[in-house]
Amino acid sequence: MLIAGLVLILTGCFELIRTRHMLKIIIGLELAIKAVSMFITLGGWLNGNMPVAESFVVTIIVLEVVVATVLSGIAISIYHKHGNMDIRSLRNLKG
Amino acid sequence: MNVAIYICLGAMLAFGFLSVLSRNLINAAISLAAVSAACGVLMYVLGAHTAAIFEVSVCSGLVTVIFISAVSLSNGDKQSSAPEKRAHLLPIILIAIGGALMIAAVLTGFTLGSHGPVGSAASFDNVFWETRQADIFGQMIAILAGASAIVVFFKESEKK
Repeated sequence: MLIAGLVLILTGCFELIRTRHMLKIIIGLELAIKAVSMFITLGGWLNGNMPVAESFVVTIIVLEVVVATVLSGIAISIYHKHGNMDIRSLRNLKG
Repeated sequence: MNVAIYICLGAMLAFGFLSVLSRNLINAAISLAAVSAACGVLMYVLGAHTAAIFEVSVCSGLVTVIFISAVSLSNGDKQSSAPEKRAHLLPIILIAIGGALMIAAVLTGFTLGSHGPVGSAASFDNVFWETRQADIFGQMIAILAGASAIVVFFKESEKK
């Protein structure tokens, strides 16, 4: 499980480095967060303290959804303004 | 139990690679939903029942809907989804890293350990609603911030 989680985190990080498309960046981020959720669950299972681990995982899930929603909103705004979802378009922001 | 864990881990890895390697954003979003579903099953097998329900319903359902909505609002955004040249290296690199980690684990005799003794008799409800109240307030603030951000983004795009 540790190896699978590490490989998933590396997959997400690789996607963050490789692509410049905002939705794909969100997908990479989500993959890495899922592996972290899995690690916390595993920690609770090994520790015998699953309720605390579950509460952390629920918090992570809520924050994950908020991050995905806000980043998708930013991506759509960029698309309406520049016609693409390239992360480099964020450099043109002013203010 | 071990078989279910291995199947879920294999599904997570396979669909994770598929979501990263897929050039079609809809396929990537659906693969991510499959990763969430496998992660939810894994959590259920390990005993985190409430977290598993949240994972399957929220991550596998709501996040997928958000992605597909974003893809449909951007008409697939074919301009930005040009093929990446380094994509074919990903499985080779990750399989090599996974293999190296497995060899290191075998050589060092690393074991994960067994299911530990139950640390506290408190249930999830007690921990979540009484011990971790700060988390609940943080979640409420995060949800309100996310909702406000979405309202602002769409208001700005309507003005333009």
